[in-house]
Amino acid sequence: MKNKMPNNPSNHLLEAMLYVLNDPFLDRDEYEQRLASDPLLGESVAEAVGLLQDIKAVSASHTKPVVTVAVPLSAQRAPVVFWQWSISIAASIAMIAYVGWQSFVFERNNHNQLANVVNAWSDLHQLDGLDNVEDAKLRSVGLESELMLEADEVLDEDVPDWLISATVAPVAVSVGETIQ
Amino acid sequence: MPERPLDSETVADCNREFKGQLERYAWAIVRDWSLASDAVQNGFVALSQFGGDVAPEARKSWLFKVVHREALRIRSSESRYKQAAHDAGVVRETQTTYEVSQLENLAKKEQIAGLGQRIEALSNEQQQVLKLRIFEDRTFAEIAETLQIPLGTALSRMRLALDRLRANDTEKDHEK
Repeated sequence: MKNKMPNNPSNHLLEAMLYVLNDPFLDRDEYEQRLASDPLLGESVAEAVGLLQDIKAVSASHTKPVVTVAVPLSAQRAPVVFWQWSISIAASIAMIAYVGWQSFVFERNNHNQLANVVNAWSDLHQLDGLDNVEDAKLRSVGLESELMLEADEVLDEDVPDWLISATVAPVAVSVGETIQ
Repeated sequence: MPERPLDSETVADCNREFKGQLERYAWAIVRDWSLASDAVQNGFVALSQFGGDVAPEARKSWLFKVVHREALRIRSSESRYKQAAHDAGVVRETQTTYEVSQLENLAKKEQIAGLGQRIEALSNEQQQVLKLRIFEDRTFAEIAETLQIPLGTALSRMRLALDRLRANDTEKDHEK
């Protein structure tokens, strides 16, 4: 049902603003008929448009909102607000729990890895009597030289001299020449 | 309707005095500044052609009536055009901003600064209604429901807020 306000000059600007804002409270067709016959109403409409532009310009020129409103919690909005709060609190708790669990698991994995390294090192130490990595290096160098010495000895003892000299100074073979 | 032409100097004076007001009025009907400007332009063409017998004190009212008729005519043809364009898949941009000259812009800035102070001086209840209606585009029925107040109270708060903003404008005009 459309409404009509008393034709009171104090209502002219309000009516004009309702018209400009397309508020369904105002019967637009009826109001436009009145506009056609009463230019004073037209002036109110022009004023409402100007005022609306200026109010919006004021808002645009401020970084913070010009008007701040605290809307009271109604019985209809209460369940919605309750669920909104419940969901956001549950989401926050889940996020905290997840982050906590992740850091606990990471910490634990790190600890286990370190423990494994320490255990392995200690086993090695017990088996070989090595004190440190340097010992292990020296040991490996020693083994290598021993192997080399052994190889030298094998060469010296079992390989014929001609083979040794052949590997050192390769034989030049030309076409038509035969090895005897 | 009078049919004697009006001299161009008087038409120019009327243009300077009433153009802005008439464009805002036409905008309320057609919702497009370019179309509003067309409606007002047609109004002044009519004034120059037929306004010779209009009494000087009645010129403003006469212009409002002509612009009203022109705006309705443009809106009607525009809605037909929009329907045809929509059917043909053509999109036409509407002019949503109102262009003002630099001088007008300076005066406007002062006016807007003053208006900001006056809005802040409104009561919290009036500010609530102003914000919900203008910035959040809620109808008065929705505002009344949100604030849990009667519809008449919501309208009354808006009326008082507008009156206060206007009253200050009027006082400022008198001071000039």
